[in-house]
Amino acid sequence: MTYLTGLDLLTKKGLLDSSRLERSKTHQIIRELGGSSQRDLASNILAFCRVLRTMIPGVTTGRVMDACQSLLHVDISNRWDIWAALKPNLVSSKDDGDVFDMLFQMFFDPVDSEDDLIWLKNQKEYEAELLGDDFEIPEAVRERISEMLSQAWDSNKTREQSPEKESPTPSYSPNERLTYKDFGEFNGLEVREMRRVIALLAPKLASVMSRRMKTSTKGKDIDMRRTFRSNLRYGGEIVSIKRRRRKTKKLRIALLCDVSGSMDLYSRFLIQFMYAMGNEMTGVDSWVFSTRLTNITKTLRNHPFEEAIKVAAREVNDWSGGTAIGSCLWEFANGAGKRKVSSQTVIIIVSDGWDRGNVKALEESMKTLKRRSLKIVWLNPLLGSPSYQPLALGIKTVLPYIDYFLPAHNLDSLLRLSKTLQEIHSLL
Amino acid sequence: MKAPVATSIDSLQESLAEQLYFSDKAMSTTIYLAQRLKKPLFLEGEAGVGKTEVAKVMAKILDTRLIRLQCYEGLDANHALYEWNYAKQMLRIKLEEGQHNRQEVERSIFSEDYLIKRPLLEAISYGSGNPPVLLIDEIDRADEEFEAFLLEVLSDFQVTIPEIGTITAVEPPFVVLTSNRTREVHDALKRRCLYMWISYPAFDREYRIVTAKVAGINIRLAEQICNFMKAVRDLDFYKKPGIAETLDWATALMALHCDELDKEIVQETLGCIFKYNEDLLLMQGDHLDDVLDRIGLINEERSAGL
Repeated sequence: MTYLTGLDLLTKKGLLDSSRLERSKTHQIIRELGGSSQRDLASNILAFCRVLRTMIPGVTTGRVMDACQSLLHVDISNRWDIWAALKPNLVSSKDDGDVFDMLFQMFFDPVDSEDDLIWLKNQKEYEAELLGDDFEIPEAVRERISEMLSQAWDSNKTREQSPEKESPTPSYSPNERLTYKDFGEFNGLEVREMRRVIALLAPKLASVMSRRMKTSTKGKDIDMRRTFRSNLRYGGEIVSIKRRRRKTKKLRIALLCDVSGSMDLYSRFLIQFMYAMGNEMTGVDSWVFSTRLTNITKTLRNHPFEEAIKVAAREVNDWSGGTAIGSCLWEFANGAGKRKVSSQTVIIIVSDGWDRGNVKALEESMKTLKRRSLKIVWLNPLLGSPSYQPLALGIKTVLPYIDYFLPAHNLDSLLRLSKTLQEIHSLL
Repeated sequence: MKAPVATSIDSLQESLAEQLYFSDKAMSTTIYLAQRLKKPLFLEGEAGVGKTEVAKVMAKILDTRLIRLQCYEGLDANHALYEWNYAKQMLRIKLEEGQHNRQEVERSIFSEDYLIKRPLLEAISYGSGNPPVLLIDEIDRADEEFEAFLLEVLSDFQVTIPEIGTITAVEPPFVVLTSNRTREVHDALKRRCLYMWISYPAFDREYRIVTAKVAGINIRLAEQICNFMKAVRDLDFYKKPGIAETLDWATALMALHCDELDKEIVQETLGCIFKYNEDLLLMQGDHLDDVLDRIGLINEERSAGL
């Protein structure tokens, strides 16, 4: 089966022009990750999966094997069938599906044979059926793919050059002086010390948050199973009743951190805090915003800290830029927040409230979020200054909707945050 | 006669259509593969696009029972797997009082006769006949612990009851999981399944569904309804209407003996399409004229009104 030779096909067509990535570089990457061209179908599928793995999570060996199994049940002379058989095996979300489609197109690029035209037609029909006539792969997805391709390329290279260094196991020893020092006044050495402490603080917090309530003798529900078991000895008379109590629900956290210019001094610590929280607890989702909102949950989870920051900074193209809290929160409340925020979610917004954006949108979004979430916590680094008055228009607007308005300028304030979260957790 | 197992993708698609489920080729392929590879099917999509329907229709095609497990917050193994029938056990003990020794009674009351099977156990120990279709509906509503538990059951299709032993399915049931994405389901569970995203139907598909499912609807009205829905879904609502809403609306319009859409009748029946007051208010504002305009109805309305 020499029908599908990914690299050959890739070189023939100009479809890559739409991508920011140069054709030659894609060429190189696919060769690097996927091996040489001119092979049979199976090797091409494996090569395809190898490239896909660098772009979306969950392309495990088991799934790849199942994907190959699936090909036995479809007509593999038809490229469209191959697409339909591979996709459900390898993707696990709608967004991943978009990436899959794009890569599939790039990898098994149609040439001008008759079969390919049929495939293309089927594909077009399918797309039209799926998404209406005005279907087009969104620019964002294209960008994401080329971005990820180049990242995969870069990390592949660096991995070869320098094996990862083992970091020494840190211990928890918060320095009294550092605990109350404003984040804005740290020198280089202290920054590193502080990061270490914050990284240790988060797991402590996480363990408190996930602790479940003990079984109680005063529970509401009767535990029939245990009651019955323990009363068997009395010949079926119920002498003592065993009770149980519902497990406490898990708290979910949505972290939104302002990374605009005015927050620079603080955001580096708060991102560290987000990073540590996200990696210690389940149910934490993180976003950063300045003029646009970016979800960095996965970035934080999949990279070591230093790298995560670099990748995040690349994803967020307006890091240290201006602020538009209003439109960002609006985007959150009406987009990601719909799915991610429930009555078990605490929303933590970290911002100084300097807004030059849309106040109306800000108020509307806060209203929506307030209704949908458990509590809203607003962390403001400026609150650390004794003379601070919440006068900025942004802050004034949101104050009525906030449950907790807390400082976030030093380690002590982060400790206070953890107490607050415990308090909220006990409400569940 | 229904064929218990579809032999090709095309024949499956035909069988689905016979049951009034109109799938596209990609959907049919995925369902077909789930059946051949004996892997669970994981369906995601907005509410009302026909995720649950897949399981119902497959039960008919496979000529078997549909076992449904509706997920909710706090769902635990007791409600999903099995529970002992305590009343029956108690009765037995009373009857046997003084006749047998205790161990013997204890042994007998912890046998299968005293077991209340919940959906998961039922789907695994179905006895003879075709393996059932197991629908695990709205998995995103269950807790994460339940997901982990489910992962275990779905990987081996076996259940261990301490008092009895391990029960294994002769043949794994056809499993369909659905999620509305109110939260992300863990990757480990998704990886175990074949994933399919079901989007809102395109005009053609929705038109076929409406004409097939709403008896006696005229072509013009069906067309208008589908165009209207398509235009509505292009706008931004908190909860966009799904196929279920389309069918509700079409049925309501039929009941009102409506042959054609006009602004008045649309306004009166908006409640069929929108389930949130915010959306309703939004629609009653500028959006309604906008939508009617887009499907070419506003002009007729204006000239009629003048």
